[in-house]
Amino acid sequence: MPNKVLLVVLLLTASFAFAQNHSDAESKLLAMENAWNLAQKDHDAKALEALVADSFVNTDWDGTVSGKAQFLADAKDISFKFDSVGNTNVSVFLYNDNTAIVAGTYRTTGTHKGKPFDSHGRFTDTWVLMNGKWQCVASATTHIQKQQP
Amino acid sequence: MKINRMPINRWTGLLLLAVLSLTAHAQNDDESRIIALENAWNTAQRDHDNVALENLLAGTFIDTEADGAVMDKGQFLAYIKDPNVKHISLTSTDVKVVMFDKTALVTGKYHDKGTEKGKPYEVLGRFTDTWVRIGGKWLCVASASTPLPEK
Repeated sequence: MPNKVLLVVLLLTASFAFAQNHSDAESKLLAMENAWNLAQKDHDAKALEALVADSFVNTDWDGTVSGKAQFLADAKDISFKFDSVGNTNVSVFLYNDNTAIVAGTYRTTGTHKGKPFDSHGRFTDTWVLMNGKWQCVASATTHIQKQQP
Repeated sequence: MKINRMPINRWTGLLLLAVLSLTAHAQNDDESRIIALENAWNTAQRDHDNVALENLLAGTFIDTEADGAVMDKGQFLAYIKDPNVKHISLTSTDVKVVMFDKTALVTGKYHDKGTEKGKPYEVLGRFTDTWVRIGGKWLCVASASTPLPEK
């Protein structure tokens, strides 16, 4: 009996710790996604630099591919003025405690060289925990061409 | 003391070299395996072989199509079976694999040519696939496609 009780306690503790870690990682990743949006809105390349890995690859909705340096240079482009940058329907999937997929929809409104734009699409971000720090290794965006269920 | 230290350092160096060489070899093996799995995916999709595809995808797989449609594993496998779509060719080019331990990121271009309900189509786009080694098996956890503008 005491062995069984001990086993149950150990299992409960382990599953609580797992759920806690899982939930902590999810919260952290969601906070980082929000920090990303703020940094992009404010053209804060320095803040963005801390979020993306050196091997980061960004695929924009128009098929343009950029590495970390180009992505950060684009973020500094002040011909874009953002009124709002926001995510909705965000889901986080964790694997092996060191990889996460964050997927959802984004909406960006603002002006480009004075012309208004309203961009709505889906994003898929891949995050990897490297040396204790979550870093985004890939981001892919796709325009939503029609209303999906 | 010096006489004893030298061989140990040499052996340590050799051991380190062996470990590094084994690690590089394992990484190359994983890269080759991932590319083979990507090719198997294309063949399975072309042949409407959703049983083969099922083995490549994680239970939580999420797919974002070039038009923004999102599908989970069940929806994606049902979509693959659609006999109205006939692929003449489905190929990937400019494929790059970046390894992060038990995670692999694969990016590249795809070219899909065929007919849908008898009408010909040709799609060119980019893909970003994330593979994770789960229980000793590489599984794709996410695939995102982005259309490339027509030339």
